[in-house]
Amino acid sequence: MPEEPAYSSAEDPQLVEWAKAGDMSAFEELVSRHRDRIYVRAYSVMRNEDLAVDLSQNAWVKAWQRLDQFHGEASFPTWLSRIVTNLCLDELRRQKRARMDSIEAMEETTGPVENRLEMETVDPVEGLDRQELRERIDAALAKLSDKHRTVIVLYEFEQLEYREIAGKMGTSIGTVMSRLFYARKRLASLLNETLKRDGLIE
Amino acid sequence: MNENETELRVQALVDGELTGTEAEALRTRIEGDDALRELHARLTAVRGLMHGAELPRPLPEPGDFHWSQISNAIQYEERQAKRLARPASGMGSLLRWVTPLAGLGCILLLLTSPSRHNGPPDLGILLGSDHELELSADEIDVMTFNTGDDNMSIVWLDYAIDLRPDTLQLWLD
Amino acid sequence: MKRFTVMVATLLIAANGHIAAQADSISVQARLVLGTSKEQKDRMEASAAIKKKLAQVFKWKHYYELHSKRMTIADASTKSAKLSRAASIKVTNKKNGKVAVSLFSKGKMLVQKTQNLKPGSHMVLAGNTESDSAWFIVLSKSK
Repeated sequence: MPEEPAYSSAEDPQLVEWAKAGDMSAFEELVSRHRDRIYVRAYSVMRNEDLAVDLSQNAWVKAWQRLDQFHGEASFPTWLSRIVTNLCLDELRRQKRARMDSIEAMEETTGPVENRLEMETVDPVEGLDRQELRERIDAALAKLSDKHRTVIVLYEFEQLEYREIAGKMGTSIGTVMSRLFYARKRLASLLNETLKRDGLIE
Repeated sequence: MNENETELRVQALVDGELTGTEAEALRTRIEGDDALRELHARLTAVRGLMHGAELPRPLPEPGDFHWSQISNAIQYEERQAKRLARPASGMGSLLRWVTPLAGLGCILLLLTSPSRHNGPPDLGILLGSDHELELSADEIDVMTFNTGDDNMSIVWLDYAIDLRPDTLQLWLD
Repeated sequence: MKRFTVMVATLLIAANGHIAAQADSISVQARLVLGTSKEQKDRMEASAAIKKKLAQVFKWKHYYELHSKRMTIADASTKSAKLSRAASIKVTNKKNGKVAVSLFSKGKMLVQKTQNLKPGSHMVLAGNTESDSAWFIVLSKSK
């Protein structure tokens, strides 16, 4: 009887090769390894548990269907992360269309004085452990508008370049730069508030 | 260059998006400008904060259930693909021509319908395929579609039904 | 002996048929839902699952359940439910998991939809109301 491949000890590229040949068990092992990470990326963009679960499931289905297009230029989780991010962007666009939500009208004010980056006390985060800081940043991200949060996720977490973000969001590089700037400004201000409120900074 | 543009360029420098002489010129300018130096420092601080800041979260459903949903969806899609790829014969070959024409007809009907502004918004939806629809003799505009996940089929009628409660029925319920 | 065997076989087939008939009855929940952008605090909100499903596709912000009716329908039989003063539905449990749903307004059939309604999926009949809102009849099959 042929021996079953050792899925749990195989590296991702090997599992991908087996999955490309139609081995669902190899693909299941890949899902098991990376499902949390893919879910987290979907959650970071959507900020909705159910939607993030649905979209991450869809991403895995799409990944299975497009395995032939994966040639290992990036790591498998990075490739998959791109898929789930694209699905999230599609979903945001669909929500915008469906709800006729005018996200464009968000607070991208451009006056020179009020736009100064006011984050005089952003750096005093010594004393906060990494997990606590992540939780505070996460809470601040939840308060950003969809477009500001998306640009932060794409730039900081997905590590895309300005032009790549512009392509994905269907906008100009200038708009991406502007959104990123105001998203950072807002994040800094939100973090400042929460740190001050909790007495962690003065 | 106005102040806002300068701020964005400082950000681009922090993000490593400016290179060569352009970056050098801006660095020189920043060194001689207190406000820009401060902005550069603060943007660098925010970037530092964000590095690796994505909060890890466990999937809120059991892993085996998650996988079962994925594998079911994969198998469903593969069955659909096989069904579509099946060679056409008899009625099938007729439908092969009638279906696109009917689809085109639906689109034209929607585009030309005077009531389309009252209908649902542009939804990016899929037309339903394996559903049977029978209409009354009255001329009511109807569109059908499925959501992307195929979990919900929708029949949209250009018709306003009376929503007032049926008091007798409520009493009986 | 042969007669006895035939009788037992007949009884077994009949009993099996009875069990199969029971197993083939379905339970369908029909909900009449109002979709609107204006909050109406006196109305009962639709369940989170229904709201989520509809809000994914439609533009309205609020979804209120106006009426709900559960129907258990035996195989190859039909049940009716009145959902509002003028609107009623007739649901037929057809073979192979298919259901046929007919929508009537003031006694006149508007549309009949037949499909395989899987547990967890929904069939929605919908339309605009006279104001900027919409009605939805959401049919779900219990698991």
